[in-house]
Amino acid sequence: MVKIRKAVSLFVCCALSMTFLLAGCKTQGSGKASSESGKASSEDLKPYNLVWYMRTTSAKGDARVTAKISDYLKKKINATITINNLGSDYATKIPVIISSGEKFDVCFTASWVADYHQNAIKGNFVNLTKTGLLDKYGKDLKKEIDPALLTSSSINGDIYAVPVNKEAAYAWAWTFNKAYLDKYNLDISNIKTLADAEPLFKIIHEKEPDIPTIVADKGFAMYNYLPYDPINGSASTLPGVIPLDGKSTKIVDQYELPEYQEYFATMHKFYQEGYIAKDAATNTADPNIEKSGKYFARQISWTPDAVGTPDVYGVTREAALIQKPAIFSSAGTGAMQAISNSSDDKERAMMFLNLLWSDKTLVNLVDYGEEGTDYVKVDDNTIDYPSGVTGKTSEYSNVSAWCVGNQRLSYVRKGIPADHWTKVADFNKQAVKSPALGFSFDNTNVKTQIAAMQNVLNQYLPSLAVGAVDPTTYLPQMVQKLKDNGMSDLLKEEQAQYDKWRTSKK
Amino acid sequence: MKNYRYRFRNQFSPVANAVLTLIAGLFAFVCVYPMLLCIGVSFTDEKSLARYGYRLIPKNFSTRAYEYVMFNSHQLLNSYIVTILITVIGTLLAISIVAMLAYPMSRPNFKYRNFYSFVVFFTMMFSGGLVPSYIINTQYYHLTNTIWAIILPACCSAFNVIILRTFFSSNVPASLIESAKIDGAGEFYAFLRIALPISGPGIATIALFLTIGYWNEWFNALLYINNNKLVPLQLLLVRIQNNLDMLQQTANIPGADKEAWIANLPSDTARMAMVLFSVGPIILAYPFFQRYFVKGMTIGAVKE
Repeated sequence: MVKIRKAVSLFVCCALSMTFLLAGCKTQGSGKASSESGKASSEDLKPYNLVWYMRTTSAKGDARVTAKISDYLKKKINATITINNLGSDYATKIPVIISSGEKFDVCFTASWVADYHQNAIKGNFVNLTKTGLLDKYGKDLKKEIDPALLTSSSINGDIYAVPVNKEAAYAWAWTFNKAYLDKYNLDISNIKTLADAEPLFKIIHEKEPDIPTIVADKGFAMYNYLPYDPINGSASTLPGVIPLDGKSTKIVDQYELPEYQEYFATMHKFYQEGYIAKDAATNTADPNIEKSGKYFARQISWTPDAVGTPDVYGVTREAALIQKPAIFSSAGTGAMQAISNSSDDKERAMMFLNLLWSDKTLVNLVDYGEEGTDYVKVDDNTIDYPSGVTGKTSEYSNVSAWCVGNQRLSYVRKGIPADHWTKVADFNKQAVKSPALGFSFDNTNVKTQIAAMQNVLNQYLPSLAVGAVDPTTYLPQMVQKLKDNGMSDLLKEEQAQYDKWRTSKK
Repeated sequence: MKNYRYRFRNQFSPVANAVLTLIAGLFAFVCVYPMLLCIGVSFTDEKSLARYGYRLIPKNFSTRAYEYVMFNSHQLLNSYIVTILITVIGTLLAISIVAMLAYPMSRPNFKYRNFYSFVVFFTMMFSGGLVPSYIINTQYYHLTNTIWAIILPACCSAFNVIILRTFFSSNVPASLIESAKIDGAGEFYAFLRIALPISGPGIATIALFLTIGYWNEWFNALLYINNNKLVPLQLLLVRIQNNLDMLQQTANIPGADKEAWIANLPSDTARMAMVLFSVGPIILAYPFFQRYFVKGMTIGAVKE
């Protein structure tokens, strides 16, 4: 009896330990074919399943639309596709996915998520120029993309991800709530600088003391309207800018420039007059304010048709540009698609990207879903929701068109003028090109200084930007702290890299 | 002689007592206040929130947030079910594994006792990190998008094992086990019928720790779950917050503020109501189990 029980116990122990061995058996490649043979493809390509990581939130109609996309791709390049919509988890998940070496083909990247620069340098993204993929399979793609965008997303002359073909230039502007403009008969055509808007603020603040005259939170960054290009990327507040007019090649600390000091002083005046909420410096963006429509002025980095039509809450705004439109060095890195080095079939991925940038059907399938079910055509290029469906109830309305492929080819939703893309093309043409277009700063040598300076900036800048504190006291303090934390090292490094890049360009 | 009549030898003087009570009271108030504010805001009317800000006693009472959350948000019901499943299955599984690992380690005549203690203790000090765990869980164990990705990683916590081991060794006398063996009990019999019943309090405490841990679990879900049907409660809240952060981040990208999903973000009051829903069961259950927690703090401490 005891012997039998001992034998059984021993057996159970052995069985449990076997699970360790089994776990070690990794199943073979994830690039297996997943479908029966489709119609004949253009070349004799083997079936392949692409995996695409997107930052859109998932929607009910995802499975249905993905099936349609797969069908379409099968016909073109004999590939099916799995789209993983990570939504707001994207920023946390994608670094883990990339560093764990998980096999996937394409992912969304930008300077502000899935750190484009770092991943490119580390070799996680395929070098599209050096491997020849861009030239061999991306011919249509290259024809479509604005060359300024391609240049601005290159690192040392090589492209590691394809920028989304959208607006390249933008201009900072004040936007005003049309409802209040009409109510008080206010004219905004003469507003050309930051301070020009002051008389309007005064009137609105007097007549409507309960609403925020200027909507501001800790992301308020109107100082970007000054004609300088931040070398560190569009969202960066680190010291190091270069004048847009190209007259000087010296990279300077913007916080010591007289124009910036003037900006901070003007904002402080606005704050003291009560145009800005008292706790603006510590607030995050509050969608409730926008939902209510009860506000007067907001900041925007303006591109054609950004405002002028009702937004998602039904509020219409009008813009007054206070900056000459420019293509900044970070223009292309706002939204890109990269091919991962862990992909099993990089050529197929490149073919897919080529289609995303040149094939109108595919772009609109991804952006808007199935015609008839998810959208109906109002005219040749405009679409709207089918009757009975709204933005809230639609099964497939979550894709951000500005994250995907070629926006020029995608339909526009009703409300946006049909000549939108011609306007954008003209806007890009007449914009000033930053002298740093194509330069990408590598921050490996100054990482500690950057971290320290970022802390200082997080401490001082939000309050200064909304004018909550007196700039004559606090701005010099901040500059001093930045200097103590390695600002000169950063500027030297930036200047050295910039000069090297400039001479190598010629 | 001074009036020591009503004081024990080590009691605080009245003054010290008052000051310490005041400090502890203030601290407790600071902890409780945000929760009270949360309750207050969840019962407020949305419009008066914009006008008057967050208030403890709502200016305009309204239960619309709760109606929205309970009847319109099927996602919340789904998450509730997922969280309950995870907690129940997780706690049962984890407690059995932890107990079965701790018991042999507590027996003095187990030959490899020191080896196992060392291994368990070592994992408490050093861990592989995020990326190695991710690689193991996704590429070798294939746990992505399954509920086991949330349950299994937290299953066998070294901390719990060591607490329970100490508890076993101090509460289950070796002589008791020996006498059971003399009477013909085997190992499993001794464990199930003799050691476990005596160790009720210890098991209960660890089970409580596990329950609270599984109820609040969101990070593993964030990493491994893509499927919306498997989202636990806490991850839902985290996602709403992340969505708002994403709004802030992409605010300056042309076209980003026209996206449809923005209109679907729950309002402030709905978010507060969701917070209360997810915290509610634990808060309501806490007074009943409080004494186990207090006891549990010292349960592994003293060894005879």
